[in-house]
Amino acid sequence: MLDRSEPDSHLKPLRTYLTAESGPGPGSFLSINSQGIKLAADLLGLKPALTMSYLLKQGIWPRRFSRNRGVLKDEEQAALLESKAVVIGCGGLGGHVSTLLARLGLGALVLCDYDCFEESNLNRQLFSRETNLGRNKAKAAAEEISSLASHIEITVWPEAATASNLPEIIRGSTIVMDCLDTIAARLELETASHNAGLPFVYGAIAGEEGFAMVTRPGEVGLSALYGDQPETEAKNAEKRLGVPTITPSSLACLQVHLAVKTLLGREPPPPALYHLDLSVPSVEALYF
Amino acid sequence: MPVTVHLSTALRDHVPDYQPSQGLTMDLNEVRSLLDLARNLNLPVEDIKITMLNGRRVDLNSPVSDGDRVAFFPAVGGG
Repeated sequence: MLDRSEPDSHLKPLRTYLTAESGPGPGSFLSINSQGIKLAADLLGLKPALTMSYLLKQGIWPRRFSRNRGVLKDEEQAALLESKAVVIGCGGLGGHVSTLLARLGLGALVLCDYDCFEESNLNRQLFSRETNLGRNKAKAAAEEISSLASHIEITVWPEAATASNLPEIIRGSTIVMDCLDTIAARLELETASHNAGLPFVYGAIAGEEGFAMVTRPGEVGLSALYGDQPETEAKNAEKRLGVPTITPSSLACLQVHLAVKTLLGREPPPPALYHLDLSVPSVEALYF
Repeated sequence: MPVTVHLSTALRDHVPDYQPSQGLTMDLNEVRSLLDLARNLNLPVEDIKITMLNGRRVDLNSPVSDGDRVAFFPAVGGG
């Protein structure tokens, strides 16, 4: 492992913004603060996320991501910064999923939700506030994500995702996060994702249980699991069982973990539906 | 040797006092298939979308044997 304590010559003006760090991860490395990234963006003529990706390829870690090192390699963190995730649904799952993706270092997010926050969302929906009840969830999510990570390029769709606008919503993205709340809408989103050649990451919750699965074009999909008429009596499970805050926050972690593995091409697992049951608690992989 | 049966989300409503960490322990007696098993438990068969037998997905009409571990799942769409 190459130890780095000096930047390459064309990045010399960045010197005062760099710190030599001894970890986490293998060997020592340089980290750069947010002021240095701004200067680097000017020097390189790149947008902030791509600037950070460029620096990572020189072994220089944006300080905001330095604690990802050890779990992510330089080139993996760079790849996330070059990725664009679509989050359809910005409520219980979507609030947590978009935040986790932002903190992990995704470079661009598309946030879509037609709905507005109401009081009954306050128990679990991350971006709901007493002060933003009545506001559109996608717009509120965009503001929250911007204040967390201003380098992220955000596109907001404050409207319902349908078969007609989905191709436009997901165009140019890398992965699709399904944070919807009906199976019919999920099936539509999966079809649109696969038609666009994109991996689709299903996440669903009811009570203290959740399910997550990655499906790829040409592989076992949601319709194979649930059939074409999936919504029988069970469709009201969420309403009958309720959803406490621990369920969306935990399931979002599982969903985002699967998304990152997919984005980074890490040991692609055999297609499996992951079942989280917090009432035990347990996570089980169900294979097909 | 009895079978162990685990139920998910709304299917649990049909079995009073269901304990998620233990599931149900049942003797098969005349039960031959997973479908018989689900009917014996008074589960709404039309709501069962995924049936797992010893960690693998199977058809609801598959046979069941002593000592098997069974799980029934409905469709879940909440987010």
